Amino acid sequence: MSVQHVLMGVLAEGPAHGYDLKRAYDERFPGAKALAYGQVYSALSRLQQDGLVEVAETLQDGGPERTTYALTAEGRKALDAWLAETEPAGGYAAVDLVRKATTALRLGADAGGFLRRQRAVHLARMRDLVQQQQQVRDAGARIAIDHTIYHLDADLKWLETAAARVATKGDKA
Amino acid sequence: MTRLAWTLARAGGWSRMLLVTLCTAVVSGLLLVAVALLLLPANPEEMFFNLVADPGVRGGTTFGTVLLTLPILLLLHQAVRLGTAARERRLAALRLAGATPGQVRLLGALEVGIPSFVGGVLGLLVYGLLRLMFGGTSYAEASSAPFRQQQLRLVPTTVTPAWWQVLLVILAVTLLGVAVGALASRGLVVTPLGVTRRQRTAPPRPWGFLLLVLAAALAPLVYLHQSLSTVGGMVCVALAVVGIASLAPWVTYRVGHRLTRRARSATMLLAASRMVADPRPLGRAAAAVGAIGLVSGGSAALTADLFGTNNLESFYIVSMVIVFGALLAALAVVVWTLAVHTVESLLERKRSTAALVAGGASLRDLELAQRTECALAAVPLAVLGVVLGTAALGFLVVTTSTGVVLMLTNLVVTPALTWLAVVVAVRLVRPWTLRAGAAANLRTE
Amino acid sequence: MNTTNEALLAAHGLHKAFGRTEALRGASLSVAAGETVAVTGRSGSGKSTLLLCLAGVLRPEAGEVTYGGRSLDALSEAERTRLRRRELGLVLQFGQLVPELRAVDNVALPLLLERHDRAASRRAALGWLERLGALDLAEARPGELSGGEAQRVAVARALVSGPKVVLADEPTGALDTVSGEQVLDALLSAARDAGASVVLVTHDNRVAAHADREVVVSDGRIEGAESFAVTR
Repeated sequence: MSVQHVLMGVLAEGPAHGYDLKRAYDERFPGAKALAYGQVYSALSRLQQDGLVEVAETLQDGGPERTTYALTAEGRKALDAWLAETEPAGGYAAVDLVRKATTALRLGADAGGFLRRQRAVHLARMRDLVQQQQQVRDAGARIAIDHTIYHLDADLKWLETAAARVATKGDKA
Repeated sequence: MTRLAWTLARAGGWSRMLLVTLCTAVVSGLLLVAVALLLLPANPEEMFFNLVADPGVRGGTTFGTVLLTLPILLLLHQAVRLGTAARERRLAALRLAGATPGQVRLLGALEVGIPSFVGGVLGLLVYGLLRLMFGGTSYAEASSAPFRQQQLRLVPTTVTPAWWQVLLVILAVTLLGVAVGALASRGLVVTPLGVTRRQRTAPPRPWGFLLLVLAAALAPLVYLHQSLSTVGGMVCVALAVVGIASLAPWVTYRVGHRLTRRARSATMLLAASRMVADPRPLGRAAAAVGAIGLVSGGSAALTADLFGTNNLESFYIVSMVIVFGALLAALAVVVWTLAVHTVESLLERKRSTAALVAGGASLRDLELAQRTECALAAVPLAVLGVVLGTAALGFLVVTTSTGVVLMLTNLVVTPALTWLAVVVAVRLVRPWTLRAGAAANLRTE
Repeated sequence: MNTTNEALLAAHGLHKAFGRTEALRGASLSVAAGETVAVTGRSGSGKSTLLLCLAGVLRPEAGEVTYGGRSLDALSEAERTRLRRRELGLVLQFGQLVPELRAVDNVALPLLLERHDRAASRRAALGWLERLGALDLAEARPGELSGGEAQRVAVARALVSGPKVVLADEPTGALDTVSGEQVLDALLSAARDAGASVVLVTHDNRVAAHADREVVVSDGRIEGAESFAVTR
């Protein structure tokens, strides 16, 4: 579901063509698998159905159809709601966390608040794990818990660095 | 080159240069007196105190005069060490700017060498002053003045050192100054990037005992072989004095060790541990105080003699007052360097000191530890020195009650003054102590 | 929410500047008995300064620090020193031990400064060293100890006089991961057993995760909704 949200995030910066949306996604997540056009269009049609995205204008000048999509007011509200929700802590791939953080930081709206809230969630989880670890005697189990704690720590550190990068370099395409 | 050296020397502070000049001046003056004493014929043409009049003892007195320069050289060493770290940093900065190590060493030598040379020349003034204060009376003069047997005539007036002898003394003093300067920078690791004091973690060894044993072994030989007596006696005394002086750091170390085990309070523990960790500067200062005590005791005996023979000429009283004044000044300098040393060791570890303060040590606790450290180094040796000095010359004195009272008073006053000097010096370095314990030293970010 | 009635140690609106740099601009914090608080924030945020003000080592230009309800300003210098000796314990990142003293004497120092008997102080010091797993280091000098070992000695020194609050400024900051974990565990378990509160300044998230709660310092102020009923 969060692919849709990333696309909404791109549209929040201004209306764009489907092609531009795919390019923007790929630029933002260079480590991830490139987004297929099919995925883009199916996400867009879904969003249109839900009234979150609308067609801004259609041009046809003898070439392939170029439709410009734009975010509706509803869409903006939904995007903000998604950004305001924290992601659960844990899950090693944390793809959703990366997507949300990137979108939130780029949009710049209440990035500080976003970080704070997310940090609290992660720390709470880490705290639980630490307490769990203190109850457990078996070395193997402690090691396993350590692993999760260290990864959560890595996520937190990444969040801080990400925020700092965005803050110092401003919007970078 | 010389202009740079001059600028460097000035950067080091006038007080240090002045101290070096003063010390070398006194050393030079004393050496000139020794030369004059050596030039005296067996039967001189003037009247002297029996220390000089008697040809058998005269050799010892000459030697004693030369020995007198030792405490002053110790003082000089202390003076040069003051701020050596800053000086080395300046020289290291020069190296970074492109000077060769040879050039830098030359500059360092000039920085101490020039004041030493000036001091050497000024020694002539000191010699003149000593001659004026303690000069012998030639027989020619004595015929016109009433005969006085035991006045403090110690410096020959009928003979004067030749020009080449004077030059030799000045040269020797300059070289001594440079040597002391070089010694003071020993143990410092200097790289263009910074200066750190290489901690001599090896505890001092009691090699001094060998010298004392040697002296003790030679003594009976000297006693038995009359021909060797003056030279042999001098050698014995020299060995003994150098032996005792070199034992001082070892004694400090052992005493410190003892005290760390038996310390009952935090301040004593801190002071005693400092003695164990860094006994050499304390031992050196203690040796210097011992020497001052020695001279003080001897001078008290000589003054007692003045009273004993009713030679209360204001002239001699003034001379002795000057001598005691000089001793007091020397004591103040040595104790000052002691206090500076204790505060420097606090400043070298600012975080640890600040943490100690943050953990609940008051300024009073810190100063008490400093006072204890200085007093343990200085006061016992002041007592030892003054007792030995009084005993050594006491037998020459005409014993009157006034004289004895004078010597006993000195026995008490010298250590008391040492203690007072310690208290004052530690109080004076308070600004630096406060700086060492300042909370700002605890900040990590 | 901690009210000042429950707060053992509290800072109210502290302002502190070093020259022209304002380290604290109205920071408030309160610590209840027995709790562990992590104070986090970026370097230069003022967290160490806040800790030192809480310890009564730095005097703020404005605002006040209270211990047990009493303002530290109302105390004389001697009383403040006594407070630091008895009620508070300080652990730094490094370099706080006296290099000339053996570990056991270092630990015994606060007691000796309180004029306790040497033998009794030594026994207490050895007890704490044992509690922290550092008994075999008792006769070593700080120069011979590794970072982690030295920190354990430092923690013992902070705890020896039975303080009610231990203030630690990045105690594991200079240590590798493993030693850091050990020192932190030792510190927190010893403090917990003694019923002491711990204020832990750290930039390490994992260290912060060991605390009961986190307070974030940013630009000399406390960030976020850490509300304190500052009723006087």
